[in-house]
Formats: sequence, structure tokens, C-alpha cells
Amino acid sequence: MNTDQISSYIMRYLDAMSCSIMEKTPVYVTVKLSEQADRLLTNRPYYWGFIDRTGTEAETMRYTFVFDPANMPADSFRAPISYVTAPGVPANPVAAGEAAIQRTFGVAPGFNGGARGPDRIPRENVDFGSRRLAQIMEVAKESGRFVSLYESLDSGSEIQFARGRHSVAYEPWIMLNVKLEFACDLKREELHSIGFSLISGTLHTDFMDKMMQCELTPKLPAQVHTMAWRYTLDQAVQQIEQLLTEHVRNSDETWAVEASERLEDEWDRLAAYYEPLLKEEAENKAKAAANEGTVSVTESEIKAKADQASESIILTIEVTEDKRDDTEHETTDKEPPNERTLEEQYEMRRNEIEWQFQPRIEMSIINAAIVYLRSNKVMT
Amino acid sequence: MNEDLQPQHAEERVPLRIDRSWLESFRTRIDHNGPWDDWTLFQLAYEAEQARLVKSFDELQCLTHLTSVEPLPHQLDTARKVLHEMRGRAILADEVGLGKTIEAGLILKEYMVRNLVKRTLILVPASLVLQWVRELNHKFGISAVAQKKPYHWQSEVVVASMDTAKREPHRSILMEQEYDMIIIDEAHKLKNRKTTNYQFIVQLRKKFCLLLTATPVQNDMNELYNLITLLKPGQLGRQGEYSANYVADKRLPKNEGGLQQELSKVMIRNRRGEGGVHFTKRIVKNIPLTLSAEEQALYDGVTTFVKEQYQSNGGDLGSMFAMITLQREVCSSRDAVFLTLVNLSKKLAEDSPIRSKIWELVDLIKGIKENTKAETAMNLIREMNEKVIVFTEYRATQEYLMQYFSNHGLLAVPYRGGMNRGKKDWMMDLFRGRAQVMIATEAGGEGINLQFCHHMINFDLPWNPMRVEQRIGRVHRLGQTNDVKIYNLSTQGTIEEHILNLLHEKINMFELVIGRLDMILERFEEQGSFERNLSRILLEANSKEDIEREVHSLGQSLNSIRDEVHTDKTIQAQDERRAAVQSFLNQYSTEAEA
Repeated sequence: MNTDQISSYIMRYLDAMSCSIMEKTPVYVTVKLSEQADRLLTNRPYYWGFIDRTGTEAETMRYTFVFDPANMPADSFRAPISYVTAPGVPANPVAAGEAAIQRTFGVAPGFNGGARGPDRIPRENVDFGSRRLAQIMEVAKESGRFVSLYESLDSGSEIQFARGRHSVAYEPWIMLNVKLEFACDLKREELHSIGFSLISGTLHTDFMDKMMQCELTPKLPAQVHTMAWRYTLDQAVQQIEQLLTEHVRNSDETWAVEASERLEDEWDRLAAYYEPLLKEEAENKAKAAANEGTVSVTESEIKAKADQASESIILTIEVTEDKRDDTEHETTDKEPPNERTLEEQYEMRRNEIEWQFQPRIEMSIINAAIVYLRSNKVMT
Repeated sequence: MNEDLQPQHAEERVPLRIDRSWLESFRTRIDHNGPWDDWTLFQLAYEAEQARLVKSFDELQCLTHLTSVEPLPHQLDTARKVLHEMRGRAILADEVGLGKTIEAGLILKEYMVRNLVKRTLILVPASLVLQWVRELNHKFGISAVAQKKPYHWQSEVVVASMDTAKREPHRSILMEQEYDMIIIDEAHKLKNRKTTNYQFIVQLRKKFCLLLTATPVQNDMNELYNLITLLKPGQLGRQGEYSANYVADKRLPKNEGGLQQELSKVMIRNRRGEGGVHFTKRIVKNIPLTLSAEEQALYDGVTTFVKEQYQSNGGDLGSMFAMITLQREVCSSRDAVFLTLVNLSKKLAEDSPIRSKIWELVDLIKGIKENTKAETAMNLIREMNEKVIVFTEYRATQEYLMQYFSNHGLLAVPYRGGMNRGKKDWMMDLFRGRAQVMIATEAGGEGINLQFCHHMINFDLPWNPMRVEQRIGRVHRLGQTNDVKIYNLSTQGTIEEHILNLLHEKINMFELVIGRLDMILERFEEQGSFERNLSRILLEANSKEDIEREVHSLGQSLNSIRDEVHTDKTIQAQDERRAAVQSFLNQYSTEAEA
């Protein structure tokens, strides 16, 4: 997104949220947020909780959003968090500078941050990649999920015609904006906008582009009637999904084949490393078990000859313990209580590899709409 | 509704998951005819997806998302290689100062933009935690948090110290997590598999993993094996196979070609002086200045006083700390000397004869009207008329300069170690935006990156050359686009003149390649610290000629070390085996490319 696109994006958002624009230049906009926008953007749940419970009149935040930080004029004195104070900025910049220096020596009163309440206008960059822009995009996604729209009846003659005779028939379409994600250890995405006519059952691609060319309104215009659905919502969804599934199945799968190969290779590598280790461990365990067996035998024998036993018991046990120590040295360290065994580690590593490389495709909805269009509308 | 439309092909084909969680919500709205969302927001939602769409597997997406950092070519190459060839598990082993953090940030950001990584754990030495958090937030727009409370572990990107993370109760919490990405800085701390550090990392669940270290192998070939096995078990085979194939001796690799090829699959090492990594020049200018008669009197007075004390003390250097400080301060400003003198006299008994001597010195201070150095510095700053950072060793000098400059209408901001983070950032911001001058007492420590400024003045000289190097390093670093001009104020007829002479003329310190000075000093200081040597010379010399001669011989010994380091002769003589490991590493990057 370039600066102009971002600027237009932000302006349309602010407009849709009925925020009042205080100042607008190609480089930045200063805006007083609407209540709705403030609740969504400023992350002040306690403030809004307070307003809601006490019924006090809310004071919404003001912001300066900078589209083009590179061309933002060097501005009056600012703290690193980019707060400017609306009124009361010292006219003389040198004086402002000196005040700041004195402040560092504790001479002047300290910077009082947000304590001045509504005077404060935080300044934020909304260049592409900035968190604020990402947040606005997220919020737009949350609050722009489902719409129902009608085509406007614009040209005068048609309205005359319609008024005079009979109402115009509108054909219902289901539009789904779908994201396809092709993922392994990397990812590629596709965006599809598909329209399905609930009357004729025809499918159209790039539907959103066409809709953005149309004049659409949320209210049913006068002298217009909507046609009864011949397909159900589920059928529409199924048709669209099927179209996209076919598209997925026909698309290049080299990436997935390669990812699967990598997955197998990595598993082989793990196997070559862990399996001999596991075998070793098993053998050592068997040995240890055999030795323990000896101990118990020895013990029972010894019990039989209870008198002279003590020395030899100690000896046998010592030998067994020594051996066990040796084998453990090879594989793991001294084990803290929640250490995973070698086998668990192997399993974990295998799962990690699968998690990393396993190719998969996901189909998800960005948003969905019902659009009523004039039935004679020619869809190209 | 079934999850998969073509279950009969499911085994052979890539699994396709269709999300239908939205459908009920849409149906409800149709049934109730509302509530419907706004058409503009609907379009904005679509456009947001369009703008952020990842169109190809290969291209680096993160670049369009980054505005506050401009990665260098070698950093981008590294990021691409890790993503496409190493598949997100790699050792980043660049030499110091080439920006491993930036590389790691790029890789992390790319995965996040592609939505392949959400939960990330970053383990670094405790002293670097905040720096990492800051860099990720400021440079990469990644909302990283420093782990302070147990609930912080639930954040998406957490930075913590290894020592904290491996201890209970944290350890148990982390063992239960699944991390999309783990980044470990200073990963050479994982070279021994018997340590709890190593065992702890083995236990963690991770998809992608980056290990950052400038020294992947120091002494022992097994270190390399352990590090790589942690990253990708089996990459170098089992321990026995590795030893048989690649290790001639504990410290000597064999079959180097083969080993390098294996390493190139998991490790990237950029070195200085290779394509793309370019440092600008350092231009050094000494500004000689002559003290006024009063200032000279003070200097001589203090020098004599210090020498007397030393002699009456029986030549014990250890107890002379305050005296040496005094001697150093007198080169900086009268304010600095004054403070120390006052503090000194407070500690003495009422009737001590030294007290009167101190007060004589104080009287000398009172006699001084002008400050030649400050004046020279100010003229210099006025002349260059660009941003400049002034370094001094002493708080008192700093405050004096602040006042002096401000009286003469020069806008300056202070910077010192004791400031908290926010204040430091603010001072940096002021310096970047409004003030022409920054007066800093602290050169070391992280966080001050002043690439936008390319003039620096050494108002006084630290006696430790490393500190001089640190000062220069604040300005002369990756990202500096101009040649850096270094001005040294050198007062004629003082010890400072000698030191400057030594550092500048003899060993040409100011223009050494970055990193070389560490090596020289390390070698030199095997025979005692540089500062100590200087102090001794100063206190024991009887005449100016004495000082000159001694400093000269100090310079000679430094110089011979410098030549040795340059040819790497001593390294080989000292420890041939260690050298073998090192030289193997040195060749590594170049051959891995081939």
C-alpha cells in the first residue's frame, strides 16, 4: 500500500465510523474519534466502563495519524512517546528546548504526560506495517463481516418507468470472499470473490470488483421487489466451495510434493539418529534388568545363609549401580524430575517436523454478503 | 456438513480444510434480516486482506512492513537463505557487529507476516532482554514483552533470560507450550550438552529455531556438534559418526570440505570485509590547545600534589586511586577537580597537613577565569554546524559544559548512564530532532545508536583505549553513511598529549578495523592493564623527558603486538590447535558460498 492508498483507507474508515476530522493534509490527519471508534481503537476499557456505569458524557480521544512520516514537518518539541500538547506549545522553540533541558535538572515542573486530559493529541504513524494500521485493518475485518445490499435505482428514466408501471425485480446473489492458504514451512495465499445467483445458480468470479463498481445501498429502494430464492444458502455455499475445491485441485502441487519429500527426508535423518540410540538404551535396560535379577537371586541365596552375608550384598549392589551409571552417561544427563525420556524426545522431534513441513490447504471466509441486483443486470 | 469434500482422495492429496464456523452466524442474520454491517467497512476488510496477501512462497514479504529499519544486503541474503534453504532452523554465526539481531528479526517478522509463526520464545542473557524487546518493537513492529510475571509466558512473543526460563516454576510452564519459533541469543552457552541449559532447550517443543552466536566453536570440535544436534538431531550423524568423519583431534577438524558442506545446510557466517558489509572511514583530527597561565598552574599544582602523595605513600599504586582520578580530572575541567578535592578533604582529619595543600589547590581553581577547552570545543562545534556528540568522563565536566553551552546559545542535551530508559530515549529523540549537541558521559552499554550524527569530540581521553573505541562505536557503526570525524582536544604539556600521541600516532588506534583493538589489548594486558601502566609512568617519572620515554616504550610494545595480531603469527605460535579450529571457521563463510 502506498501513502495515497493508506490515506484513502484511513479516511474512509474514519468516515464510516463518523469521526470528525479536525485537520487533513496529504501527510497527516488530525481527528476526534467517534465513541464507536474510540471504544474499538484506544484500548481504554476502564474509561469506558466508568462512562457506562456513571452515565457521564464521554470525552473521546484525538489523534494525529501520519500517513507519510518521511514528509512530516519537523514539529514542536516532543517527548519520545510522541505526545504533543494542543494549546500551550511555547511559541519560541528555543525556550521550549531550554525548558526541556532545565527539566532534566529538575528545575522546571516535569513533563506531565497525559495528565492534561483532552489537550493531549497523540501522534502516530500509520505507514504500512505500523501497528496502528494493522489494528484498524483488524477492526475493519471484525466490523465488516456480513452485509445485505441493494443496487440503487439511479437513472431518472428508469425510475420514471418503474414508478409508472410495475416494480423492478431484483435477483439475490450470495457473495463469499474467500482466502485460500497453501502452507508448509512457507505459505502462499489467494483471494477469491465468488458470487452465486440464488435464482439461476450461475457462478461468477471476481464478484467483489464488480460490486465495488456498483452503487449499492443497504435499503430496499422504492418500487423494487426481490425475487424468491430458488437455491438455499447451503446450496450456494456448497457450489462456491466446490468451485474453489476444483480450483485447488487443479493448481500446481509441486510445492506440496516437495514439502512432503522434505518431511520424509527429515524423518529419515531423525530415525538414523534416534533409532540406534533407542536400541542401545533398550539393550542397556535389558542388561540392567538382568543384573537386577542377579541381585535378587543373590539376595535370596544370601538370605538362606543369613550369617555371613553382609559383605557380598554390598558388593553386588555396587556393581549393578556402576553399570547403570555408565549407560546413562551415554544418552542423557542427570535427570530432573520432569525430564522426557529418549523415546518421548524422538516422538517430539518427529511431531515438530510434521508440524513444520506437512503441506496443507485452508479455505476461510473473509466476509459474506447478500446482494440484490436488477435481474437484467448483465454480468460480464 | 462434512469437513472434507473429497475424502476418497484424502490420503494422496494435500489435506484441504474448509472453515465453516462463520456460516451459522451468517444464516442467523439472514433469518432475522440483520443486524448487517457497514458496506464501507466490508470493503475495507476486503482491501486489508488484499494488501496483506502473501502472493508467493519465495518473495520476502516483510520488507513492505518495515519502515524503521533498512536491512543491509548481507542481512537480507541471510534471511532469504534461512527461510528458503534452511527452512527456519539455522545457526546465525555472523561476526560481532554485523547485525545478527536484525537478521533474526527479519526472519521472525517474515514468518509472522505469513502467519506461520505466532507464539515465539526468545531467550537471551539477562542484560539483553530489554534491548531485544525494544528492537523488536521499534524496528520490527513486533509486540514483544519482557517476561516479568508468570502470566507473561502466555503472551505471543516473550523475551526472557535463559537463567530464569530454565528454573522452576517457569521450566514446567514452558515444557507444556508449543512454540512456533524459538530464538536463542549468545547460543554458545549451549555448547555443552551436559549442562542444564542444553537439556532444557532439548525439552522444548518448537517448529522453527534460530541460534545466534558469534563463536559457534571456540576450543573443541564437539561444541559445534552439540549446537547443531540441538538444532537438528542427526544432521552431523551420531556422535561416533561425527568423530570418525570430521574430527582428527579434539581441536582439529578433518575432511574440512565435507564438514563445511554439512555446515552450510544449517549455519550462516558473514564476516567483516566481505561484500555488502561496508564501514565508512574514520577521520581523526587532533586539536592542540594551550592552557592559560592559571590553568597551567592548576595542572602543575595537582601533578605535584599527586606525585608527593605517591612518594609519601611508599609507591603503592593500589591505594592511589583517588590521586590518579585527580590527575585525570585535571585534564578535563576545573569543576571535576574541584569536586574530588572537596570530597578528599572531607575525608581527612581536621588537622591533616594535606588539607591545607588541598585548599591551596582550590585557591588555584578560584583563580581560573576562562576554560580554554570548553571555548575551543564550542568554536569547533560552531564551525562544523552539524550534529555532534561530545564525550567526557566526568559528570562535573558534563554539567559545566551544559551550562557553558547554554549560556552561549548552543542547544545541548545530556546523556549519562544513570538515566532511566525513558529518559535516555527522550534525550536521544531531542538530539535527533532539536539539539545540535549531545554531551555524554557514558559510551558503553547498549542503546545509544547515533548513526545520524557523524562528528564526535573527545573532550577528554579515557585512559582505557577500549572506552575510546566504545565511544567511537556509538557513531561509527553499521548504518552510518558518512565518514566519521573524530576530534581530540589535546592540551599541550599534559599527560593527555602523551596518551593521545600514543594512541593516535603510535598505534593508530582511531583508524583500526573494528574488533582489532580488542585483540591487541587482550594480548597486551596479559602483562597488566593499560591504565595501570600509564598511572605508574605518570607517578614515577621525574621529568617530562621521563614521561616521554616511558610512553614511547609503551607504544613500542603495543605496536609490536599490533603487528603480531596483524599477521596472526602469535595466535599460531601460542596455540596451533586452537588456531586450526579458528581458521577453519574463518574460511567457513567463503567456502560455504561456493
